[in-house]
Amino acid sequence: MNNARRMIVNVIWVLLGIGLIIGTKIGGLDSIYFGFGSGMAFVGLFLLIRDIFYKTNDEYREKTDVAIKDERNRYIRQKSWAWVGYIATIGSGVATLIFMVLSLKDYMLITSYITCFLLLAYCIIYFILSKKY
Amino acid sequence: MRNNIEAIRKAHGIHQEELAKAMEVSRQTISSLENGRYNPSIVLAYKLAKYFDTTIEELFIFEEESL
Repeated sequence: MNNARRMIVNVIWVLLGIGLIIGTKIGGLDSIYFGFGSGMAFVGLFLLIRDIFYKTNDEYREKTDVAIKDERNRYIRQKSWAWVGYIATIGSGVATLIFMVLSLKDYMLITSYITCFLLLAYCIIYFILSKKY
Repeated sequence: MRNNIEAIRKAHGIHQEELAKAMEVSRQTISSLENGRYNPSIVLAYKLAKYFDTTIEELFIFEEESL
């Protein structure tokens, strides 16, 4: 996503966040949306400021571009996400077993569905990538 | 994989930062390459060889046991 499009998306996050905040104060939305709205507005504003800085500061732009495109950083990102996948799948599997032992049937069902979904997603993605490469 | 990047770089009187800029990678990547913690892609290996006007075989030492 180029910088201009990112800035537009971040402005939308800020506006949505402000909208939720106003909605809780005037529109009678549940107070939990105040938290969501505040978070969205704050994160959107932070990212917007970062994107403006990226656009105006040549040194920062060069440094950021190198950091994003750097092959070692890409490798580390891919490895990190792979480990997150392993931990999530194994974690949900272990949680399923624990809930089964504790006879917490509802929780066990949820974690078993999550485990199955993660394994199915892995199989589908593996199949797609094996055709692509 | 062992390599001679550090020795060749120093022989040319180039700093890691300079080499990183020329290769369009971060200085940390060059550092990790030199101490063998990271193996480069074929593209980066080729670019390094071309930069130092040498061959990939001169830069990188392939050992069967390292696989």
